[in-house]
Amino acid sequence: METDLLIVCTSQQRYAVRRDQLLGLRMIITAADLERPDDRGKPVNSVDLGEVLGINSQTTHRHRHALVVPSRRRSVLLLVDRVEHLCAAMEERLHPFPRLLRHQMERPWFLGVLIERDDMPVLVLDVRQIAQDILMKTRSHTHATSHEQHRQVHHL
Amino acid sequence: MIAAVPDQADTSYLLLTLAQTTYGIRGDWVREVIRWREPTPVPGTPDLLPGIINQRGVILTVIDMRALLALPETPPNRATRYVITKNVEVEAALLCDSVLDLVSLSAAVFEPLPSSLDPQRARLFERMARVNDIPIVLFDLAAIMSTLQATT
Repeated sequence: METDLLIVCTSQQRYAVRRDQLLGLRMIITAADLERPDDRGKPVNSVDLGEVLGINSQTTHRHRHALVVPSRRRSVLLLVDRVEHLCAAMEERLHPFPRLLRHQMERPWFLGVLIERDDMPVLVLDVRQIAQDILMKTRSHTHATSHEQHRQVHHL
Repeated sequence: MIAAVPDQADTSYLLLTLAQTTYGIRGDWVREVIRWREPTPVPGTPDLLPGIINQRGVILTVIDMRALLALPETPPNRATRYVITKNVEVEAALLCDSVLDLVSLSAAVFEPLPSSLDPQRARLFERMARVNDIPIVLFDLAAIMSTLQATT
């Protein structure tokens, strides 16, 4: 892993994100910031990172940050409470998941574990994979909805 | 505290508690015992694996022993401990209510598991022991690890 890692915080947890997986960062102050296209002019979908990960995530922050994760047709904005700092991805601080846990992980959303300054393990997220899964879920939901609408119109 | 029972063929066990019941785990599987600290949760994993901890640069999976035995949850307190174990190549941190002592148990104190025990639960144990009339349920760490690895 030869890239810097960005340490970000949801309301409950800290995570590490590979800098080279991001198109950029965006400050979210108003609702309009969630709608604005990315730097390539492509539309965006926004989701709360904590919610996606299934960890109870009720933010108290008025201003948030978005990790802009590019995909071919659109970008995904992953909302976090704070962006803490950037750190070098030194090999001795990066670890694979323990074998016992690897057998039990439902989603391929994690690249490994970073041992941070305070010795706490921080999960390294694969935000590209997370973004792809979000877009795929959105697409299948949209298809299902439009199919249902089409079926109802046809029925009428 | 449970007194050691000396014998030529003693086996050492670390005694721990879960919901006021005494359990034992073979001493040669135990690396160390450490105080509880908040684990880092890993989303998308079962409740009985509440997360990971870092112990001297080794990332360990935490196994909630109460959850494994379907016992009610309890918040951690000053007595809560992790028992760091190694079985074959699998290292883990077993979360338990407290740790009592490391004792040697002689062959005379061992008993078979009660036949009324639920078979799903019985496979996690190797046998029982009775010392000073206190029953001790002895975990089979290899069986626990293979059960966890098979449960996906």
